Amino acid sequence: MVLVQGCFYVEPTWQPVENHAPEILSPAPQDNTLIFRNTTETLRVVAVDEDDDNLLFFWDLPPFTQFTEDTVRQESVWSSRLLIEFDEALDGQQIELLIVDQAPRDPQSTTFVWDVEVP
Amino acid sequence: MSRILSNLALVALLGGCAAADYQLNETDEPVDPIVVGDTLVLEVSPGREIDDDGTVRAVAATVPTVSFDESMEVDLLRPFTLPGFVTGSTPNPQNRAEVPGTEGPVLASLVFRAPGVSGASLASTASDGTFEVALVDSVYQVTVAPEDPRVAMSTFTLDSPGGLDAIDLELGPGVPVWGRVFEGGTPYADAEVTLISNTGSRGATALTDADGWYEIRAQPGVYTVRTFGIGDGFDPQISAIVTVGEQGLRYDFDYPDLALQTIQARALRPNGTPLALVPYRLRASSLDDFGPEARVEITGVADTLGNIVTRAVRGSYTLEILPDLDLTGLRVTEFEVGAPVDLGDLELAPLATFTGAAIDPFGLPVANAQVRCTELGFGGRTWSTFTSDLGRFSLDAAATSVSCAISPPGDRTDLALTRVTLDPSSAENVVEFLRGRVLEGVVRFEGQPEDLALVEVRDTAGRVWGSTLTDRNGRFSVRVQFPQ
Repeated sequence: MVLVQGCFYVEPTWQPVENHAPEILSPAPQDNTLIFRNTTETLRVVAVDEDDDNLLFFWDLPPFTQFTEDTVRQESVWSSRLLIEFDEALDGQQIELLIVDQAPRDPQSTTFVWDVEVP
Repeated sequence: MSRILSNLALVALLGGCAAADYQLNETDEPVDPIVVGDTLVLEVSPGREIDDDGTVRAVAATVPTVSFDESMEVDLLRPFTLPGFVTGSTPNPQNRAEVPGTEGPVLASLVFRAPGVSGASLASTASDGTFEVALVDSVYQVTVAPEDPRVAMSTFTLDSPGGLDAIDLELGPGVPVWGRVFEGGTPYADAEVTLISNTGSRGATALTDADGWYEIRAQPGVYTVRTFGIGDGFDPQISAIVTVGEQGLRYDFDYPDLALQTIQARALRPNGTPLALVPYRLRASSLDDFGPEARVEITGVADTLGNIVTRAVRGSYTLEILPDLDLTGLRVTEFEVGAPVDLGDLELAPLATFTGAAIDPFGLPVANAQVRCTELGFGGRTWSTFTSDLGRFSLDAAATSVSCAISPPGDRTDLALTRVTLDPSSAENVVEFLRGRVLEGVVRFEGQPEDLALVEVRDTAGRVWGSTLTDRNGRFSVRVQFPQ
């Protein structure tokens, strides 16, 4: 602090703004393993971002996988879902989800990986 | 009706005038005229699918029609595990003889389908014929496909399994589906033949013997009988829909000349360097000497130098190269294969930048709208971004026409998800949000409101036209606009 003309002057200080990575609240399935018990299986995550950034969801799938995906936001909660059609060729493959926040500076990301089992 | 305006300057112009009109007519809810409830389905996924002990807590529900005139109520169901046992007749080895053989446990895969339940449940039997399956209390159609094609493929109706202790399924001897496979008039040995039920379940594969004979057993009904040739992926797939009667059915397949021709190409990046290990897909649009029911689809991966080398029977083909997200896919359409074909160097294009803005029906910019664009065909890749505070977006996506879903931000409950096709040659794509109609309802699980349930409105092709999450009271409200 510097005393200027009888008043207290608080010298401004710059504090770096920390950007937090997106947080996955509930991945489904939870245990990193997708077992095909249905003709169409679902992968879904519910995620939040402490900084209230927009989130992008990138699903990385093996080639030729039949799928549909959908992402929706409700207030600060995000949900992204992937529907995958049964395919024996998926046995032993991996599906990776990358969630990237859209912070203007220093964007952060979170990943989650599922191993696919076809019984 | 969705509109893509070509000049962003219209944004401000539309904004002032239309907003004033809206204030005057606020009590008259503007309703976009085309919302068709009976061509949409409602899919609801539970907020939490797995319980703390790892068991499935609730299964997704499908409501076959949506109603905009009343609040929809959806009750999610908890599945229960039911044991079962499959027995069948293991035939004696006499080919095509009506000898039922002895009853015993059967190795089989089972598919359980029920209206109102998303997807279908799968199960498979152990060597002693037992299985377990997770079901809800509904009416199921059960298709049993034994591993041995000589054991009858069968379909059952299972009504209200909640009252059962176990499921016993007796397949019986069934009836034969048999015939011969020829190539150029001579018996084709080791050709694969299978039956597919009218619910889409695939049965076991039978192989033809040295004389080209095959035999499969099934319960009478309507099936698709299909041969894959010798199953190397190069022989065309031939199918026919058949009705199997009480006496069984004979069905022969006759392949013309199956001589393979070599097709080669080299995949390159935009800078001319090899595109290593890129997946490709070769599809026949018509095949010489085959009927229209014949199909060829060959998938593979280029080598480390980008070389694509495959083989196919004579016909007309389309080759698609399916790169990662950083390049535009490439398609060589309708080329003839009558002799070895070299398509030469195929240089893939970089992504294109789609720029534009999202505006509301009054011409005002919409910030934080999600722009998700999916390429038409190829691998169905998706690129996403959000609009800026000024409602503008810039998105790198495949340099072909892309189908885009523009989702309003959560606080713009007056707007509906809007679908448009963006053109990479347009300098400016301005997308006007539609208002749609409000679809409301409540989701419950075991009588309690379900928080964070995912509610999706889809068309029969599976495309999403609206989605939202339920609140703590299990309630949802989403605007839907489905153009015809």
